[in-house]
Amino acid sequence: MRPEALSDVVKTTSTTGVTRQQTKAAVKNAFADAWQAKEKGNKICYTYVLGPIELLRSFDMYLIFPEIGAANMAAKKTSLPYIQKAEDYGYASDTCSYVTADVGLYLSDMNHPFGKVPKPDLVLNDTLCNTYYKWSEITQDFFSCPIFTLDHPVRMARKEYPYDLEALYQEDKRYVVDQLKRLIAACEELTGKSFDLDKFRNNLDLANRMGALWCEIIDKTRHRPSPFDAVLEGYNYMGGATTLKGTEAGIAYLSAIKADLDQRIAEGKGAVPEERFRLLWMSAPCYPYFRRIPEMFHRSGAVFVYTPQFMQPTRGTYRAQQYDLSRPLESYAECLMDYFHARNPRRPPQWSMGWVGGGGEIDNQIELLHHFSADGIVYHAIKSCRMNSASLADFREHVSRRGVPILMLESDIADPRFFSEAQIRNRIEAFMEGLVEKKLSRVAAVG
Amino acid sequence: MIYAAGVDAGSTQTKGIIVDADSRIVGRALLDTGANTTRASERAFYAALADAGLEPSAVGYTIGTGYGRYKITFGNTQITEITCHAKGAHYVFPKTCTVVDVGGQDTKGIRVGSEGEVVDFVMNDKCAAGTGRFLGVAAEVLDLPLDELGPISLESHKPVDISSTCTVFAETEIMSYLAQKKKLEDILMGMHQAIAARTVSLVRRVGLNQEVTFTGGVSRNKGMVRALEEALESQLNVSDESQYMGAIGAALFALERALAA
Amino acid sequence: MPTIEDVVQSCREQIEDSSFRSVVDWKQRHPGGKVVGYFPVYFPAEIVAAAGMLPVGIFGGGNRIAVKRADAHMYSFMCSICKTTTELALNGQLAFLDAFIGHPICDAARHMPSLLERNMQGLLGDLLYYPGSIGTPLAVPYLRREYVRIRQLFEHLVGHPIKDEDLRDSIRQYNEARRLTREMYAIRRQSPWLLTALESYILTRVGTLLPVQEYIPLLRQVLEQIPKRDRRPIDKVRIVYEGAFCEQPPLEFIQALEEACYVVDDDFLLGARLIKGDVAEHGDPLLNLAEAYCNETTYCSTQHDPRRAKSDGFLEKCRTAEAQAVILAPAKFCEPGLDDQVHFMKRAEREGLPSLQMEFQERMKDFDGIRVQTETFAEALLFYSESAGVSPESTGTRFTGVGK
Repeated sequence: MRPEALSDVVKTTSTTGVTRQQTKAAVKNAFADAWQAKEKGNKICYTYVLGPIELLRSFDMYLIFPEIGAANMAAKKTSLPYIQKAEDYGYASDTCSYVTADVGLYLSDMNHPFGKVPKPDLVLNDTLCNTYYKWSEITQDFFSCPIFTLDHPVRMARKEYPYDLEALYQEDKRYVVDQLKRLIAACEELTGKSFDLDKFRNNLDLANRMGALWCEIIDKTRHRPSPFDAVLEGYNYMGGATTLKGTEAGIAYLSAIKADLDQRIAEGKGAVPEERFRLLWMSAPCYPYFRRIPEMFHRSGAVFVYTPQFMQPTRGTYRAQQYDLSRPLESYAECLMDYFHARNPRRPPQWSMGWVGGGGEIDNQIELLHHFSADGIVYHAIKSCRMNSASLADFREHVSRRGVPILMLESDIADPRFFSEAQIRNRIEAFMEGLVEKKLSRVAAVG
Repeated sequence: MIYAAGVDAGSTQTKGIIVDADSRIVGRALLDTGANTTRASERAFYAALADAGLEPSAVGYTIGTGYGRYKITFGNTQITEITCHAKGAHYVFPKTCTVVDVGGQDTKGIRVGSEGEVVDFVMNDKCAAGTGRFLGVAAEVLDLPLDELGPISLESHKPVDISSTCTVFAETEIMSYLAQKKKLEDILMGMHQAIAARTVSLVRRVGLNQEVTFTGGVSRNKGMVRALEEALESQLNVSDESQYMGAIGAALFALERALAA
Repeated sequence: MPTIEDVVQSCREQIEDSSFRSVVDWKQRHPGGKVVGYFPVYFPAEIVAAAGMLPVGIFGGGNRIAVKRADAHMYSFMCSICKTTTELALNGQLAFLDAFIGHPICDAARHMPSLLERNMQGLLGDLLYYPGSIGTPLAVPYLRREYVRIRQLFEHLVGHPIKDEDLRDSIRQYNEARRLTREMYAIRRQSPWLLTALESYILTRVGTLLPVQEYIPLLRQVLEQIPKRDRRPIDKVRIVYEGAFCEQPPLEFIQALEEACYVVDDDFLLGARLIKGDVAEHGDPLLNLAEAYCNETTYCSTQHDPRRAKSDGFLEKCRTAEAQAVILAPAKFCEPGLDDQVHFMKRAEREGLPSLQMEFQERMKDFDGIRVQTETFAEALLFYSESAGVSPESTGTRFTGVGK
C-alpha cells in the first residue's frame, strides 16, 4: 500500500462518505505497490492482522496480509475456485478456508483477483491462533521462505493466584521483548538495513494516534441511531485501519471516517432508516455473502453496534496512548501480549474470546451488552475458525441463562458452500420476532 | 479347460461370473442379496455355472468381492471391490483410465492403469451429498419413485441451482423451489447437476483422465449420465455390463491364480 | 503369572471404561489424593506424580459414549475428542478431576480448560503454554519458568511443596516407563507378529491411567513373555501410521488396519513417546524437563521447530521401521493433522513412498470403509509392486483414500 496515494484520495473526498469504493481502491492498488516496493529492493513480508506491523514497516518491508487477501477473494465471490484448487492438491475442506484460499492463490501462479501477488521473503507468525502456525509452515513449504514466530503466552484469569501474577507478567514481557530483539536482528539480516529506532518510534506515534481515533470511532455506535453498522461498514473500516497501521495515510483515513460519522450523527442519520434493535456480532463475518446477513437484520430495523473483532487495530488494549515512546520495545511487547494476559482485567469494549477463563468471559459479554445498549447478541459460528467459534455454543448456554437473547448462525468466513440462505433467513426472522415480542411484552408490562 | 469364478456380494445385489482360460465370459448370474449373503453368493455361483453349462469342479479358483466378500465362505480368497472393479472396467473398456462409481450409499473414484491395476482411488462414504442418497432425498421430498427421477430430469431446459453442500440444506432448497413453482424437471436436473459437481470434485483428486467409465447403481440413471457428461465436457463409457464389473474383475484375478497353480 | 492376553484384556477394560473406575478407586484408596487430568499431546506428568497426585490422560469418551448434551455447548465443526470430553464433563463422569490442564496445541484444544471450568464447579483449569518456537535459545528458559509456575499451581492444589528430589525421582521412573515403551515398539518393528499394534496400543494407553509405579512392572511382565509367544510371521505389507497424535482412533479401527497390514510404527498417543530418550536425572529437574521438550523430541504436528522439517523426521521413522508404505489418517476436523497430512503426502510422493490418505473419528462405529480402503491399498502394493516400489506404469504412488 502506497500510503501517500491513499491520503491523496481521502483528502479529495467530500466528508459525506468514506465509501466502500475508497477502501476497495486502496486494497486494489496494494499489489501493484508491492511490486514497485520489490523493485526498489524492499523485502516482502506476509503478516497476519495482529502482527508487529509498525516494527516491520520500520525496515521498509512491504506487508502483504494473507487474511485480507483471502477475505477480498471471498467478498468478490471468487474464493471457491481457489479453495477447490487447494482441495484438489490435498487440503481438507475442514481446515481454515483463509488458508485454502491462500494456497489456491499459490497454485494459481500467484494470480489474485486484484492482481499478481509477490512471493514472501519472510512470514511473520504472531501466534494469535494455532492456524497461523500451520499456515506459515504451509507458506514455507511452497516458497522456502523463513518463518519468524512471535509468541505471547496466553494466561488464564483466576479468582485467586497461587503464583505471583505480576511477576509472571513481567517475565512474560521479558520473553516477548527478547523475541522482538531477535526479530529485529532477523530483519536486519534479511533487509541489510540497521534497525532505525526513530523510525520505529515514529510509526508507534502514528499508531497511537490511529489507536485514539479508532477508539473514538467504535464508540460512536453508542449514539442512537448508530451512524454505522459494525459489520457492514465496521469491517471495511477495520481492513483499512489494519493495512495502514502506523502510517500518515492511516491517520488521514481514520480522521475522514470519524468526520464522516460525526456528520451523520449531527444529521441524525442512522445506519438503518429506522433503528429499532441494537445487536452485538460475535466472530468474523461471512465474506462470500458479506452484505446478505447484515441486510437481513436491517430489514427488521436491527443494526450491529459492535463486534469484538474491533480489537484488531489496537490489539484489544483500548488505551488511548498505547505505546510509551520512552520505552518503545517494552511497551510494544505489552501491547502485543496484553490481550492474552490475565494481568489486565477486561473492561468494555474489550472482549474475551473464551480461553481466558476465570468465569469473567460471561460477565464480560453482559457488560458489553450494556455498554452498547444492545438488545441481544448474534454468534456467528464459523466452520473454518475454531479459535473464534469453539466456545460460542457454550457461551450461548451461559449467557442466555442470564436472560440475554442470543442467535446462533453458522456459515463460513471464505468458503461459500457453507452458507444456507434459507436456513439463515429463517433463524434471523425467528430471532427478530422474539425480540419484537420481548419489547412488546416489556411495553405491556410497563403500560 | 480351466475356468475361474468371481462372486460380487453387494449390499443389494449379488453377481456371479465364470470365465474360461482365454478370459472369455462363459456364464453370469444376478440376483438380490436378501438377508443371507452367504446363501445369495452360493446361489449366484451355481446360477452362473448353470448359465455356463459347467460343473463346480470345473472351476479352479474362486474369488469373492463386494461388501459381503467375507461371507463368501466357499471362495479361495477375497479381494476388495475397488481392486476388482478397476480390473473389470479395464476388461470392458480397455482404454479406460478413470472409473467413477456412484452407488446408493457411497461414491468412488478409481484411477486405472494400463493393466487394469488401481493406481489411485478415492472414496466418499460419509457425506451423502455426492452419492445416490442425495437422489433418495429428492425422491422423498417430491414423492416420486427413484427410477422416474432420471427420465423426468431429461425434459429440463432450465435446471435450477442447488448450491447446498448438505442434504439437509438441499431439502430446504428443493421445497423453496417448489414453492416458487419451478418446473419439476428443472428441479430434478438441478439435483443431478449438484451430484455431478460433487462427484467430479471428488474424482478430480485421482485425476479425470480419458476414457472415463461411469458405473454403479446410479449410472443407470440417464439424467445422471447427462449431468456428468456435461460436468466433464466429454463422453462417458456407460454399459449394462458395469453392474458385473466387480465380479468380472474377481473372476480375472481368480483366473491368474488358477493358471499360476 | 497372568498371560499377555489376560493383561491386555484387563487393560482394555480399564481404558474402555468411561466411568474411570480405576481412577475413582485410586482416590478412594488414597483419601485426600488429587487427580490432575491432562489433554494431549504432551504433558510433563512427572510434576504431578512428584506431588503424590495421579496424572490421568483425558482422551474423550471414544465410540462408547452418546453425545447428547455436548452439542448444546460446542458447535459442529469440532473434533470428536473435544466433544466427547465435554460430554463426559457434563455427565459428571469427570467429577474425580481436581484439575484439568490443556495446551494450545490447536485452536479447539485451547478452549478446553476454560470450557470445562465453566461447566464443572470447583475444577482448576489451566493452559500450560509451551514455547511457540522450540528452536530458539529463548525456548528452554521460558519453558523452565512455565514449569515453575505449573509446580506452584500444583503445590497450591496439593497443599505442600514439591521437592526437586521428588521430581528427579519421578523423572527416573518415567524414564523407565518410556524405555519399556520404546522396547515394545522395537519389537513391533522387528517382529510385528509377536505383538500386535492393538496390544501395544492398549498397553501404552493404560499408562495414562495407572500410577507409574504400577505401570512399570506391568510392562516388564508383558515384555518378558513376548519372545515366548507362539506366533508366526504372515506376508503382510509393513506400514507406518501417521495422524493420531491427539484424538485416538477406536480400538476396532486399529484392528481393521492390522487385518490388511503390519502397523510397524505409528504416532498413537504420541505424548507418551514424544521425548525420544531419557530426561536427565541429575541437576535441576524442571530445567531438564524443559530441555527435553525443546531439544529431545520426535517430530510432532503440534510443535513448531524451525531447525528441521517435519517430513525429515517422518521419513526417518519410515526408514527405521522399514515401512513399505504409509497411511496418513488424521482425525476429522483436526487442523494440525489435516494440514500436515498434505506436508507428509507430498514428501512421500517425492520420495516414491506409497501413501494412503484417510480420516478417522474417535466416535466412528462402522469400519467397513476403512477395511475396503486399507485392503485395496495393500492389494495394490502386493499385486503390482515388485519390491517396496510401485508398478512401473503408474505415475502416482499416492492413494487418495477417503474424499473429504
